[in-house]
Amino acid sequence: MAQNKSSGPLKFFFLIILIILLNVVSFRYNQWYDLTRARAHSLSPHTIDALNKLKEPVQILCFFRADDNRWEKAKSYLERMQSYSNLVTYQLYDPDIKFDLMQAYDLQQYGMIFISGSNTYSVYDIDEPSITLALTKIAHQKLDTSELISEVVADPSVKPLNLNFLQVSFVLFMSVIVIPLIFVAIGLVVWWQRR
Amino acid sequence: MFITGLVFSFTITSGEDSLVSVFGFAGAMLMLFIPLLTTPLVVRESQQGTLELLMTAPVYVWEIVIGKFIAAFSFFVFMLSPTVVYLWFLSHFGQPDLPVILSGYLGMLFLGGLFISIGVLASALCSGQLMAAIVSITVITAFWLIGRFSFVFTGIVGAILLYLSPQPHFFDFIGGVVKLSNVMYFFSLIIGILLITSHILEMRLWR
Repeated sequence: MAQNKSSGPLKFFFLIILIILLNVVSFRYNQWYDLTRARAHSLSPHTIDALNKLKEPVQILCFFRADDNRWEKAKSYLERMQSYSNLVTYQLYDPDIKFDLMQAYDLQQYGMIFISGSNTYSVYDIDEPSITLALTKIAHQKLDTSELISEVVADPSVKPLNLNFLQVSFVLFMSVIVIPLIFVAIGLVVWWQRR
Repeated sequence: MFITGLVFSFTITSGEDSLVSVFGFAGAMLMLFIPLLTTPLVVRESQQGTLELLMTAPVYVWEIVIGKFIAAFSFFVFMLSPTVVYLWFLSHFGQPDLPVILSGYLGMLFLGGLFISIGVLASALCSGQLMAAIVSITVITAFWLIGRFSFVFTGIVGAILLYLSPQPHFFDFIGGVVKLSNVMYFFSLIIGILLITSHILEMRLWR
């Protein structure tokens, strides 16, 4: 008989609760590391400064279709902002369903509306400078717009891949034919030895 | 390997010096590959009558489950290992962002571990390999797609559904972002599912 120091149902239940709690805590106090060379997933110092200077809650209403790429991009920025300031909250609305809400805020097209107190600011371009500008405007912060970085700057020393025909053929030959064949050979050898 | 090699060749010829496309494609392929790997783990033992023998061995049930998981995971790592050659190609012809690629491999290992744990659970639940494969593929696909329903439900329900899906967690890894919440997600789900599997096997023992 297997040694049955089994976790009883109660112990099992508490372990599941513990797992859920650990997830909740790690989600709430999330720590993340941007490993990209160009820090593509990190906020600029100006955005971080604007977030740190927030004194009142900022609610961001996002009006995008769920499959809109701009929502994915916006959500990426908003999640990063939330990791710096818990005064920022956001909510996605389907513009086809919540068209009246869009009209109430005078939003002319799909985009975001920043709300803080009685101040509102519309954002249609989903990029970091526009979002940072919106934050500073509704929080009445001063910001030198010339310092805003528009896009992540690629490292000029890194050259893009540009293979010639021979190189492409070599890569194709090795990755599609040679490497799979090596593994098939290993599998056949193992099978033969076990026969 | 053949199809992954094709995907890699297409990405490298298009000028992309990363493995993001390869990882994304491979991650989707795992949904079919992993169930085929894991279905025999418990089912074959049960069919051959060796499961009862194994359960009478002087080991805990959870040790048996962990052993099955490690065996499948080791094979998965072995199957993933040839893709390191792609890294050599990228280093030779370009200047790949190595930390991002390593983060992608970490994501692949976590995703594979999660799918393997689901496969082991399905294998413990079912009496036939075909049924176990169907259950495993169905559960994995449901997990993968559950995040789509987050847009139907707003508020906390939508957030929970999105969090449950491995897609956003996996895509963070292959995009070069390592988040504590993603690591905790994969670890906790793998451990939780293996716990449930252990509990199910114990119930079979006492039936």
